[in-house]
Amino acid sequence: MVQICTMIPVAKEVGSLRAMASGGIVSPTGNPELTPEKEKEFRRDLVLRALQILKEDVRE
Amino acid sequence: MTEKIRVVHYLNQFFAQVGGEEKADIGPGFKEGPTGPGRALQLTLAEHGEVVATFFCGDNYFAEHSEEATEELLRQMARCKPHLLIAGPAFESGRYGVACGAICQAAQERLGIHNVAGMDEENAGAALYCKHVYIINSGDSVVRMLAALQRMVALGIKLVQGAPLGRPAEEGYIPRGIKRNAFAAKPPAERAVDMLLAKIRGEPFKSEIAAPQFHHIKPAAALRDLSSAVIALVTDGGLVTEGNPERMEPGRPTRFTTIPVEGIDRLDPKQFDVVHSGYDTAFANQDPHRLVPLDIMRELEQQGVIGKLHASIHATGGAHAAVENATRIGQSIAERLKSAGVTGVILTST
Amino acid sequence: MRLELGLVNIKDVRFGPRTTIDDHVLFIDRQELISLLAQEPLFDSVEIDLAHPGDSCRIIRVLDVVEPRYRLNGPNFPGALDGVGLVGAGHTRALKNLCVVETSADHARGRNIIDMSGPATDYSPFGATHNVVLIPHPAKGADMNEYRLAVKKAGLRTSVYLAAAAKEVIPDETQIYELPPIAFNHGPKDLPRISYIFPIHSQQHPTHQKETVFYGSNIQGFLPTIVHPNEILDGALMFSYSAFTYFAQNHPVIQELYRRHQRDLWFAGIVVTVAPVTIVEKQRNAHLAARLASEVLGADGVIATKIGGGAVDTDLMMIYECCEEMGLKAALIIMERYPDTGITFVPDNVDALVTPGLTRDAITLPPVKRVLGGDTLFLDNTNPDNTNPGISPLPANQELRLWMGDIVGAISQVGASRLITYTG
Repeated sequence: MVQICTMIPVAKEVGSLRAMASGGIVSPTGNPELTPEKEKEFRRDLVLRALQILKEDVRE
Repeated sequence: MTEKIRVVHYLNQFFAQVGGEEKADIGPGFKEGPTGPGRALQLTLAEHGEVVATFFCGDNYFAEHSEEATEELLRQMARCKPHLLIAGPAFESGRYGVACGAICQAAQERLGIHNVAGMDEENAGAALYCKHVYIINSGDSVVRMLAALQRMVALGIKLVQGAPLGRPAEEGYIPRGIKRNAFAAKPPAERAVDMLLAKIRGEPFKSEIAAPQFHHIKPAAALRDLSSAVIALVTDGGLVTEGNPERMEPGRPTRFTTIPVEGIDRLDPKQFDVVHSGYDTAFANQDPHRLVPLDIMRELEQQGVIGKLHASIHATGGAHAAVENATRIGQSIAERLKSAGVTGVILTST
Repeated sequence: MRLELGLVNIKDVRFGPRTTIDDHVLFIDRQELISLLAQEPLFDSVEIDLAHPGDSCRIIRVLDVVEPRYRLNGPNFPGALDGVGLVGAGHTRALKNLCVVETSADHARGRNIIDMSGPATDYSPFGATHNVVLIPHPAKGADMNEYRLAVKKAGLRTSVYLAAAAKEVIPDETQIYELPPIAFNHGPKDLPRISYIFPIHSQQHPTHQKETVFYGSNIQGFLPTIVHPNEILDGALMFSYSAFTYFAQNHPVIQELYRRHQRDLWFAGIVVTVAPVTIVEKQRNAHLAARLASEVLGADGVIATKIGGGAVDTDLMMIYECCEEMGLKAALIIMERYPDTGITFVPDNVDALVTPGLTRDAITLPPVKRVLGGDTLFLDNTNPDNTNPGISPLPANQELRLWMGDIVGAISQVGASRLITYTG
């Protein structure tokens, strides 16, 4: 599992080691300040990075 | 409460004077009025209450048939219409202690009867039940029977009357791991400045909030190949279907919802809502993809970047979730995903 | 900069023909005040009621609590009520033992309660103050966000209107708040320099465009900055949510640091900040706030408080760690919410935490004769934890089982309470 979130220190504390930074508390996989097309690109980049993290080893 | 408190007393076969270890296999039974240490219990209750019945069960029988024993005992207890159940004290008898804890928890949850158990803090029953049941620390010696009963009665009367309870050390019960408020001698700002000055001077001080302990979790192994992976989307940002028919709670959630997305390549904002008290949900309501990236995942599936997008989104809320509930929800979702052949999860959190 | 706060102790409040203070009794010209407040186009009508300590009275849907204050040379609440201006210096009158309590028709605030008698008064100071309760009814079709902002403004207007009656009154007590500029703000070396890092808002609930939090600003994009502590005490700050304005005017940490200034510490000033919504910005603000305390205020130690939701535990821990990395000792005041864990998490090296209390500790409040601010609450009386959207409204005058955190003023995030916690 990879977690896209803001509170990364909390995630790691409870054992969610594959935690990565989101677009923010109010729009984790988006950015309302961008145009719809740019926002979708932003989301695609975020998701691709998340999938990449799923392929990485993590140490406890 | 001017009415006399109706008390039932749970004992094992030994204290109920049925027999010793040789009678440990005996099933549940009952006697009218107090028996054995129940007489001391009645004396302690004095005019406040009456021990209307004594219930007992063999220690082995309860250990091996706990469901049936509990069922039977509760059935009979209910007929007595008790206000209070006193279980034990079991001192250091492990099987007896576990039975006391179990019968108290069941009486609380199924019949709503106030209850107090008694046993030594090292008793196996204490570790299992102290979070759910008030357990007076009786110590390990029968010599302290009367002292233990006195504590159990005092606590029991407070529970029945709805009176506020003192701290574990004052009332004599094993800490339940539940935080409570108490009035402080100094206000928090003063305590904070005192603590900081002590820290600066290198003097000893004690932090008021301990680090919460979480279970150790072993991280899953890395996915070797995305193109054959089955990826599921999960969120704790409070995504629900329009109108929130599943009644997802905006705070302190106790459940999760399963949103089918087979054949769907985008989340229509008119068909979804976002329910979560911990953040401004306006942006996610405008476009649910800001919370759950279904559109991108569907494209990646079509492009062969991932093998398959799982047919459901599992969603819950994360506002002030109790650790117990969040753990249970997480485990339930994980079990479903695993048995559906999912190999990877993207969890989106606010 | 020197603020002289003249305190006038009020022993009773009644309606009368003119608004005036006579022998410590405040008389309010009810019609005049209603007319003043009803000018707001977002209100259909305004009711004003009085609640006295000991009354069998419950105030519900409390939006904010403000202490009546009047600056003799103006402006009052600049940017929020009056036009642009500065506060924190000069002479200000404060009415003590009296508060303006704003209620909002918006149900979201339903569980904020003040009881004037019974067990709630053990926890909250507002059961012991004479309360002037504002009940503004929204105009038909009013935008509820703008209505709420108007209610808050009405509270400020009332605060100034009432305290103006003390213009000519000789105060019972005068408190002096004085701290020179940083460049001249040095004490003996053996007095540790203590600063306060003060998050005033969490953007997880963003401010409204027209909201007036700090000197009238909606503080969007706010970066950590230094302000004079007197400005917080004297009307520069109105919290958006999560804390009551009364506790900015009577800020427990600022008052404690002033109280002990030159005694066992040197008050080295305050840093004001906000908690943003991305991890990167949270880290940036934590760095900046710690840097201001360390290199500009020259602090040896820092107190920091929390605001907002569980998300901000993270900001506080970051502030702590940044401070300690820069060689400052830190202590945090963090409100606890969860009966099982208290707060979200505590990194290993964080060892100085103070709790103002646990919000989710149950309390039973007895039935009352009179309710102000509405008739019903959305509350599950068998389980205060239940936030199921299907809860039916409950008459507010009956026995209620709720959380101590629902009692207004019982547990304040900025560190005001009478409580400590234990594991039971």
